[in-house]
Amino acid sequence: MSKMNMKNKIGAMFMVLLAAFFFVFPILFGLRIVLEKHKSNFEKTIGETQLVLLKTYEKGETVLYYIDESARLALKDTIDEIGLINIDLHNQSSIAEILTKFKLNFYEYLQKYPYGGIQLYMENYEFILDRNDKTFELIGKTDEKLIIGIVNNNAIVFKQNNAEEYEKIGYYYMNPSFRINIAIE
Amino acid sequence: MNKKAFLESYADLLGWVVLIIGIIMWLIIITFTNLQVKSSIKEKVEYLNNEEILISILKSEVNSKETYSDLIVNSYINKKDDVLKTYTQETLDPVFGKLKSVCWRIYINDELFSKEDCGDILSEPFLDSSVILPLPKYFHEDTITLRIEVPGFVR
Repeated sequence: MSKMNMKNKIGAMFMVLLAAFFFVFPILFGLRIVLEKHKSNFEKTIGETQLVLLKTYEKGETVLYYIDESARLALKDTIDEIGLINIDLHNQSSIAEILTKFKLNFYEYLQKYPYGGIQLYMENYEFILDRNDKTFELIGKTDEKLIIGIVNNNAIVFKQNNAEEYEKIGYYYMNPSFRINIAIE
Repeated sequence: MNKKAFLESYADLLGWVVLIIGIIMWLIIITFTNLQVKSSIKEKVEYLNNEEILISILKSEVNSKETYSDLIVNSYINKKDDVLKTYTQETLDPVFGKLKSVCWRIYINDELFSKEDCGDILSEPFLDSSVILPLPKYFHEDTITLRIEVPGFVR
């Protein structure tokens, strides 16, 4: 191979490499800028998830408050149905009658809650009923957990009802035990 | 064409190609570097709804037999808000209006049920929360969505 031929070959290779480099480089550079421009913003702002958690806690409190109010109304209805004069808390059959009617009323009120009703099993509750001169006190204890989805909107999403339809961060567990007092009229 | 002339024309051709590519490259770089990528931090302010405060207010006793939520429900059922107005003012003033009386609006199922007119509305209300309440069985509705808003002070 002559000296001239060798020089031409090296020069040609160098020029091809140089051209490829200059051609590829601007394309990559341009692509990067285009991608940067079209890149979406941060999906979430700082602290947004924490706020969703706190809001879920607040939603949970409103659900627990509804349960308390339902229990109060259910106990009032039960006393009205049986009659205050017929209630004898020293008599086991009287207590059983009260609790049976209370459970039905309570369940009925819980079913009226929007978002599909509150699904609680009455058989999982232990009820303690007490009375003094002015008030009835009812304690409803349960180990059951009421579960709502941690979702980024204002809806209350019960796991038992419709949680699958929503995109969730997780679940929030609540204990729906209650303690209520109602005045004797 | 002899061999030397061919090699020279080949080198000329490559030279033109490299020159054109170089010009295109510069055009591309100049075009894209003008499109600057700008990033900015967007401010987003959100508040808690303070349902806990509302629930505490609703649990407060109006008298020995009634809570504030009972009063609201009874007022709604009887379509009368005179007692509710008095008690609402007496309840909300110590909580939010230490120096001046606060104004308030009570919405039931998104309709204004009772209010105290406002004179000075704050950019962020003292309270704007809602809860769902059950209604007694004898009433034709099952539940109400109660919303209480405390937007500022009275005149």
